[in-house]
Amino acid sequence: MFNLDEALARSGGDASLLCELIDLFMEILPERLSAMQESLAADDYESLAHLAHALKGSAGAIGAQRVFEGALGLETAGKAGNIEESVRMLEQLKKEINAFRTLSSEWQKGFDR
Amino acid sequence: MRIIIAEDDPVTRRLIEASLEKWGHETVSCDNGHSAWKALNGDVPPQLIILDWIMPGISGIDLCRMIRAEMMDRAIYIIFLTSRDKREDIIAALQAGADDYLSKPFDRDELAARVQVGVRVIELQNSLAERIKQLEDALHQIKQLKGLIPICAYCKKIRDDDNYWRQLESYITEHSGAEFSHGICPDCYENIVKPEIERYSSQNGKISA
Repeated sequence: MFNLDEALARSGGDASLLCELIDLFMEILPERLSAMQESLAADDYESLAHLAHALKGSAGAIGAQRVFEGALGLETAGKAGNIEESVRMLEQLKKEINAFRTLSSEWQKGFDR
Repeated sequence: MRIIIAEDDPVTRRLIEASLEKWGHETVSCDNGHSAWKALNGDVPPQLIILDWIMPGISGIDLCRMIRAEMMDRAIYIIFLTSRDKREDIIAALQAGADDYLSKPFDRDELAARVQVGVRVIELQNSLAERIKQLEDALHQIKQLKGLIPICAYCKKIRDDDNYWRQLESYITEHSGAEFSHGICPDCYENIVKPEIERYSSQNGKISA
């Protein structure tokens, strides 16, 4: 899920930096998800794989392990040009993102900035 | 040290930026290869660059090749920081001119250590370059003394580059750093000094007499 220890280690134990990074991640997320949806609708798997790759990088930086894995799955499906798997993986990724959003916002609420 | 971060993902870029600043470095953040290239051609170009492979515009690997092809005389340390972690990717990056290679998601302590290696190499190269410059300057001065020097056949003055006739001593002092301590050789003592002393004594003798 959201491995707080790992995420904090990546940010050098700096909780306020981790908060900032999560905010940044959430800020760019809607645009990226809609771009993914558009690529899928246009059967543009190359662009879909590229977008998933980028999201994977952001998720890795904040220690969102399951979002990272979801994005990796979508990237692989996109590269393979597999439509069914891409649709399924995108839905899976959205679920992981929602779960991450809940967990991270709970943590952020508990952290007094 | 000033360090370029060429990374298109804003979250990763901010993480690297904050980390480097915490370690006392100054950062120049670029979200594509073009602006990184521009920063390298700026007034105070950084010597260390942390480079992502996949970026819009000029990719990391192309930027790396451009740096090595067009900035051969400059000491630039390139660290690849990329999610491409296959053996052949690492080989390709090193062949393109990378100095080091780190996979994403990266370990912060490892990045700190590798940046430190880069800083050490750059400082070493800078101090070597400074020493070479000093030696070249010294060599330049020695060469001037080895070249053809116009000298007056009678008074032995030397004509300098600005067309002035100068005393031999001051010319050599300026072009070599050597200094002169004046004395009199035995020949000149016999031929010049002794007759002068005798003439002086005989003149004095006449006056006192």
